[in-house]
Amino acid sequence: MNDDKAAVLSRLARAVASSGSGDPLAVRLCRACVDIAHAAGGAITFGYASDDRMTVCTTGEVAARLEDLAEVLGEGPGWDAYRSGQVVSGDVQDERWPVFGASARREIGMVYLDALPMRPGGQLMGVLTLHRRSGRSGAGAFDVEMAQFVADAVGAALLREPGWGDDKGPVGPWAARSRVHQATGMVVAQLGIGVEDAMALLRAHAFAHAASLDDIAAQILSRRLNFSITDTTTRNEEP
Amino acid sequence: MSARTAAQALGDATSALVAEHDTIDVLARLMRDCQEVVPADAVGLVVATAGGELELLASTSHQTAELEIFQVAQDDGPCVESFQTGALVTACGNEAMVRRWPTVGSAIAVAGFDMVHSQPLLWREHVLGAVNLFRRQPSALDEQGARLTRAFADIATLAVATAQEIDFEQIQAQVRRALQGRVVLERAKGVLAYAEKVDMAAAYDMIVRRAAEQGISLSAMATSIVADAERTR
Repeated sequence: MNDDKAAVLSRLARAVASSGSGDPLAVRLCRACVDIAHAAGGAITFGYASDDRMTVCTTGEVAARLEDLAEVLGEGPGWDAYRSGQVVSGDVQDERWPVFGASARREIGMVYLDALPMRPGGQLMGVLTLHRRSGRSGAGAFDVEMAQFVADAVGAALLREPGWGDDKGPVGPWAARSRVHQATGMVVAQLGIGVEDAMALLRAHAFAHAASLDDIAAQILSRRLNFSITDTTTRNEEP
Repeated sequence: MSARTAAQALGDATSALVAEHDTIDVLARLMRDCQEVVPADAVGLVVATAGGELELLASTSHQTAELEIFQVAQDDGPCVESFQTGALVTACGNEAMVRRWPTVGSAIAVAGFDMVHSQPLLWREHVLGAVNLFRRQPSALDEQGARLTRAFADIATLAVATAQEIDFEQIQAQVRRALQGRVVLERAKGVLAYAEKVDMAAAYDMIVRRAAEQGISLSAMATSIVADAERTR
């Protein structure tokens, strides 16, 4: 092992051991990665393209919005990293993700992204995404092999960490995600369509209204938004 | 979640990602960083061999290396005590060190150290070794320093205990199953909340009641509720 890898593990160890904040492990590890890579922020999402997709941590609003845009639009470096199992880097002008890039440019401005697939033991479990404002100049902080090593270490640590999805109450990654699943169930009941179609409808609606998936879910759960009302073949079931 | 379990989680990661021949590099680096961040003036790491003998594995200075070897030879001193008892051993001040370990304590004092802190490497019910911190001033570790030391010791422990193979495939499958079960339960709550015009808590109670009535699991009930709703039109 080269000294760099040991140094990275050690820095992650410090992040883990650092006290005071009481933040979950995912948040501390994500911040440590942001730090190590000289990035502006980052996010960790499990099961990126799967049914049980869940963003377990974002370091700030920009990271949260980028993650949300990627989910709603179904494209971006995170998707490519998850599909290929390889580190994917690029900015918001990249031709590989035109819609994601245009939306991110409009809302956030110029950002450069590194998407690192977490695959401890060869098992792909999600994506760690880092963003930078300063464009390509900062990207040299990490070579691809090191980036992959960091992502694997973080993934392995989180896989063994039982607490990340056990949040009770209205905040935390699972609470946010559970609202999306509840809303999906409501749309299934409203329209009698499949779960995947209901999810697609939520995403399309979020995109059309430049809203986050969580916002749309909240509107459905509060019964302010009902897809069956606009469907002329069904009667209005709003109470 | 405590810092200890977080450190253990990262330790697991370390042990899984680090090849056997890399372990010494990782340990040396961990000890250097431990010395820097706690902080201490010197740090040493001893581990037990298969025969139960303590052996020096990493140290941040020649002087500590000699002290550790001396303790092992004398079969006395903070690191030996910590290893034998599995408990944290700490002594601050020349007098306290000499009183506790007459020969070894004097040797530590002569080497210019006035505080020693020995954290055992605990692996399940076994003690694998100990991390020893030395300071030139008679100042004990504060809570933060002790916690950092414990975290570094945990990670060192896992790096030493690499014989433990971690089956990520199996763990990930468990996590996914647990997550999937919760996903379908949330969807079923949404279905009932809309169809029965109730709130989420009442929807959950309905799923629990129906599952009990039909004698099936909660996730089987939830799956069936969602599947029925998908076909209603």
